[in-house]
Amino acid sequence: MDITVSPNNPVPLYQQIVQQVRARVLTGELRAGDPLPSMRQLASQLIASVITTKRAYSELEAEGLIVTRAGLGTFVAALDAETVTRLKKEVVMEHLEEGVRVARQLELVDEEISRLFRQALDGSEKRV
Amino acid sequence: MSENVLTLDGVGKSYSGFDLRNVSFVLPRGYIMGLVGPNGAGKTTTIRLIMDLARPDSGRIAVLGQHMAENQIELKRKIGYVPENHEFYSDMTVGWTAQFVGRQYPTWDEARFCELLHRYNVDTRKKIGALSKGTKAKLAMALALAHHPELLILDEPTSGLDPVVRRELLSDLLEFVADGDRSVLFSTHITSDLERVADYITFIVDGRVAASDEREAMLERARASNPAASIEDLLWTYARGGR
Repeated sequence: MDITVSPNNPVPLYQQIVQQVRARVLTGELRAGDPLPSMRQLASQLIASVITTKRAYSELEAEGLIVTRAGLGTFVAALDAETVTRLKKEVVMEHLEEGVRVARQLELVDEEISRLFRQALDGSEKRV
Repeated sequence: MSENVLTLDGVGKSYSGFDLRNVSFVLPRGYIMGLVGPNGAGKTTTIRLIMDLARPDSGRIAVLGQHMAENQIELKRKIGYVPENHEFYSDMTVGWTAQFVGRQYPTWDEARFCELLHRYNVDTRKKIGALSKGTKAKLAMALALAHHPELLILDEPTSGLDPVVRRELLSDLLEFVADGDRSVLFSTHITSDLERVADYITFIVDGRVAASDEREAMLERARASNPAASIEDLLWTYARGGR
C-alpha cells in the first residue's frame, strides 16, 4: 500500500494514515476484500510507531471502511454505493466546515462566505 | 496480554551534585519507548541502574519480570545493550570484536551478524579505530541484535549520526519489534527521533520523570491548547517546570 506520513505535517500521524486509506477506499482504488498489511508491517514500512498504525486501523474499522478477521488479517470492507456517497460527503463537509469556521473567525457574513464557496468552485481568481 | 518488560518503581539514586528521584515507568512488551530529556537530566543514570551497572538507593526495578541482581547472567543474555560510548578495543578488527562478544552469548547467531554487517556495509577486516562514528554505531547495533535479544536498551544510539544512518537505525528498531514479542528502550535528546517510532515517551527532567505515557495521547492533550504541539514543545514545557 503506497502511503506516506510525515511528522512535519501538523495532522497527527494516525490521521494521515486514516485520510490516505479512506481516500483509496472511497475512490475504489482499494476494493472490497483487498488485504491490508498488518499493523506492525505497516509501522515498519512507514517508519511509524505501532500505536500509530493501531490507532489508524481502529479508526478505519470504526468508520466501517476495513474489517479485521481474527487469524486472517485486515481487509477492505464491502461498501454499498449509498455508504460510499455518504462517507464522501462527510469528508468534504468536514473541510467545508473548517472553511466556514475560518470565515466566521474573520467576521465574514454568510452571503460573503457563500459567494466565496461559489468562486472557489468556479476556480475564480477574483478576490473580494 | 500487556505484560511489562520493564518496571521501575520509585527508583532513586544520589551522587554528589546529582539526584535521581522517584523514577517510575513501565514498558509493555512489543513496544518502543523513548527516554528523552536535556543533557544531564538522568537518562544514562536510569539506564545504568536498569542494567545493574549501579545500584539504586531506593525503589525497585524489574527487567523481563525478574530482578537483575538475582539473575544477572541469564537476564543480560536476553538484553541487547548499547552504551553511550561503545567500549571496543580500537586496535582490534571488527571480526575479532564479534568473536569476543559472541562468546558471551549462547544464542549468538553468526549468520545473522554477517547479514547485518553486510546490510550496514561494515568491513570485518577493518580495525575498530579506523571506523567512522556512524559505522561504529552500526557495528554496536549489529552486535546487540545478533544474539536475538528480547529487549534492546540503547543509550543515545543516534547521537552524532547523519540523518540517513539515523533513519536506517530507527527503521531497524521498528523491524525489531515487528513480531510483537520484542521491545526497545532508547534514550535520546533529539526529539525528532521519537516523532516517528516511539510508542511511549518518558520525559526525564532534572532527575525526575516529568511525564510517561503513550506518545499519541500526550500529543493529543497538548494539541487541545496548541494544535501544532510537538514533542519538542512538550520537552520545552517540562524543562521550564510547567505541566
